[in-house]
Amino acid sequence: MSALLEVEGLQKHFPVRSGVFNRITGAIRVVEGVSFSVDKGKTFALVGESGCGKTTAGRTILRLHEPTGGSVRLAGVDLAALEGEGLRTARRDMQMVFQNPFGSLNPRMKVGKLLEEPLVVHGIASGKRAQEMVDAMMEKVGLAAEFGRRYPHQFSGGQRQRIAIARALMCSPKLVIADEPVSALDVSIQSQILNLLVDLRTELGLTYVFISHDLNVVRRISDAIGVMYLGRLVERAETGALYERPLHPYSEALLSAVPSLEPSKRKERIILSGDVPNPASPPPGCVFHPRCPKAMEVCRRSVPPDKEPSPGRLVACHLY
Amino acid sequence: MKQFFAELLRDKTGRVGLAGVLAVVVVAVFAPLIATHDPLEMSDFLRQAPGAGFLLGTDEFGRDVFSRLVYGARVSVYVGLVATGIGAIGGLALGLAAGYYGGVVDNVIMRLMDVLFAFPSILLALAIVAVLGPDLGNTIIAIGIVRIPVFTRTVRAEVLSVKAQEYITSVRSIGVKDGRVILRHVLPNVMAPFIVQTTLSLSSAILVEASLSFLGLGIQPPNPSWGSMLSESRRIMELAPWTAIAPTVAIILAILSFNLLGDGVRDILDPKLKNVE
Amino acid sequence: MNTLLSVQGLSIGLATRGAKASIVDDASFEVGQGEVFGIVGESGCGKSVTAYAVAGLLASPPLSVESGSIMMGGVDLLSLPPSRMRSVRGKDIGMIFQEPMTALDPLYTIGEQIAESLEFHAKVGKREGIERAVAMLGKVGIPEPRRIAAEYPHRLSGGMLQRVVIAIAMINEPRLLIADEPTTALDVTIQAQILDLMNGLVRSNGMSMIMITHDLGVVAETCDRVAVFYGGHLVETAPVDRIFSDPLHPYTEGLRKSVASIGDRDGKLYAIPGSVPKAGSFGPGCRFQGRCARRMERCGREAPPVSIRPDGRSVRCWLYGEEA
Repeated sequence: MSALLEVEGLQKHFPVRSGVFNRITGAIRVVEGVSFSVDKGKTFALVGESGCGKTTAGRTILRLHEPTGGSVRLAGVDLAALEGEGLRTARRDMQMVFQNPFGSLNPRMKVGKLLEEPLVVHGIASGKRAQEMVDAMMEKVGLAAEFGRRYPHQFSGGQRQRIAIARALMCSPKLVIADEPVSALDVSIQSQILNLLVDLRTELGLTYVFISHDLNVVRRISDAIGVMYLGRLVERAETGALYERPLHPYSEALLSAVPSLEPSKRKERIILSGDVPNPASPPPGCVFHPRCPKAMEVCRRSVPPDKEPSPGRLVACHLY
Repeated sequence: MKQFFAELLRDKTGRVGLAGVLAVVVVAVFAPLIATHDPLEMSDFLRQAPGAGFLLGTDEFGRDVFSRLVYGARVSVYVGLVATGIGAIGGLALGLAAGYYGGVVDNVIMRLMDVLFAFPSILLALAIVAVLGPDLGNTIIAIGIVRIPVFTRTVRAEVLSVKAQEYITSVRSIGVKDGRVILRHVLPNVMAPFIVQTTLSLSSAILVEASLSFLGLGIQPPNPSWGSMLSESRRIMELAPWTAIAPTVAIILAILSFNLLGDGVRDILDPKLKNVE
Repeated sequence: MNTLLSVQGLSIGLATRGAKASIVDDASFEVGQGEVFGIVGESGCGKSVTAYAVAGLLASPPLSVESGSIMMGGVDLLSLPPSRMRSVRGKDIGMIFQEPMTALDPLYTIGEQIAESLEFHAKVGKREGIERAVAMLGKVGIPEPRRIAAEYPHRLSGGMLQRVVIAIAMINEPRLLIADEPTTALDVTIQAQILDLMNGLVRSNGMSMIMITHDLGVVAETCDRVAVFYGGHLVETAPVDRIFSDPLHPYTEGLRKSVASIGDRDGKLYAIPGSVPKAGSFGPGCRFQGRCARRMERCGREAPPVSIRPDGRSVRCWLYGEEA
């Protein structure tokens, strides 16, 4: 099977401006060389803590940010090369679901209009035909058709996220990037939305990039995972393999930090000391070395290269 | 819209303000019916005290103060509306552009606004009228231009906060063109503070007109405006105080009404002041 | 175990335009000396207001205690005048909040803010206050405590600030610590640090703690006993291991299953259908009935009473109603 999405060496730097004339005086490397590919019908998860660059990576893939370097190919088409009308057309194939269902829907538009907009914008359908498609999609995500006449604030968080998902799927995209789609929801609602995403993936043949900080959630939905730390992809593996035996010390600590659901097994956890460094002035060498329990002399000096300990697996650490 | 007026009427401030503003507008529109004399006609009764013949007395040329006041309301309402309209529309366009596009566009627009802002508004209006020549049309343009920076700033600040909302990113990710994003998604969400600003701005525009006319740069004699009436009353203030008191009271009441209305509108439209649902 | 805090029949109402909505209805629980007591539930279930009522920090109006008692050390906290309650708070009860950024005043240094509580309650001078603040900062694991004490809050990361908030809560050695979602705003690796710290401090000082959270993982990691809230009702209390191994209330069971179905990736995830009820808008009968897999005809008519089981656990469900 060929990959639907291929991300190669993706970089996104934000300029640091200072002074009266807003001159560029430096760059924050928010995403620094991220590579992965996702096969059609699969889910790839990007995990990491706040500020690791996972959200920026997702948005850069969709060209909501202009990439600084690297390439993104969707079904073989280089997205970075697209401009203007070509890019706008390509957006039909790639959609995004956002974290906060309270902020991602225009409060002054009725739900029906919100769902219709993608169809109108891309000239797919209008009028009665569009209305039928909206109703069908509402049903697909588990909402009654008459909800279309209401405003977003009349819905609960879970229902709003269903609306946001419906809107993303209106023009039959190939790729959906879901940025923390369940983080803002109550625990008992999260599973409903995850199930919906899984069902829709099967039914519509979607491919997901799932961005999350929650390792419990990621484990339940993804086929492969990329762990990010300070803009770098430190490890990439099949989901099962990663949870069984994380290779990178950061992945190991991250997994270990997740509270266990069995009180009888309060485990001895690896507790990382210190905080995530400021991305504007990352430490030299391996960016993780100041917090790494296994740091060696070499980690302070040189950036670890990407290694492939087994086919398809990637780890960026001097231990391997 | 219906709900908006219902809420406005429930609000005490809004109710009083609306009543006052409506009164001024009615007077302005029906001036010929309300006025008891021709405002330009000079009678033989000079500096007559208020009484049965002349409701608010006469000025030094024997013109009826009440009728001049009524016709003056026309000027005030007209200037207020048109000048605010110029400022509001100009500011809305500039603010949307500056806030949405950012970067160079933002820098150029906002530095220009800073310069406009740096002058006291009366001085700036004076300068514009001095260049264009003193007549009512030019006064209105001048007052309108002076109002632009206030609107630009309000709108731009609001656009920035709306732009940071996820639904704007969401719309962009769908592939909506900039024009549509601005008109369909940004504009409706910045309307509330914009409308509040517009209501509050009406009173300032009226005040600036009165000041300009007072300085002799607004409406030209013998046509009445509240500012010019006040100006003409200076010479005879001791002899005929009513010629000064009447326009002063009119200006104060009108400004107060517009401001109360503005506060009422803000109470309704500003979600930050609203009770949480 | 001796009882430190006893809450009986607590009901909390919310005044809205003309009407009064019930936010918490008839909640009873006890917290033992040295016990870590978890209160778990979803948004709008009443878990936070319950704890805020204990601390006398209800936003009143619109919130107010309608009935019930909150006994601590033989005194009903609800009967205390505000001035007495102020001296209880901080001295006997310490609070830790969800957002450390907003829990600290940006205009005072870290040291001043810790010392302030000490000056108010322990009547020590400013100089000694700062000294003890520095010592406390060391205890909560802040490196270079003397330097940090002189810093302002915005200079510190979220994890560090939460340590400061913990230091403030603990400086007067209160008997009860109330932690409202203390790690929700933090990253996982920082959460692990903070939970570890809190566990250590509470256990070594023999304090009691109420841990309010929506995260069953946090409950499993820290608590001895747990109360589960749903829709303003306390639906179940039980020792922590029993909550996970043998939940009684269908909601507790559903909640556990919907987060714990990790590993069984082949099938569908377990999900409780329906949506979380909005605070204050509860219908008649059991509040979970609309989403419950084991709903009976009776559940729609009458709200179930609280039944106390032989082993001391309590549950509010008709499945166990007859045994009461």
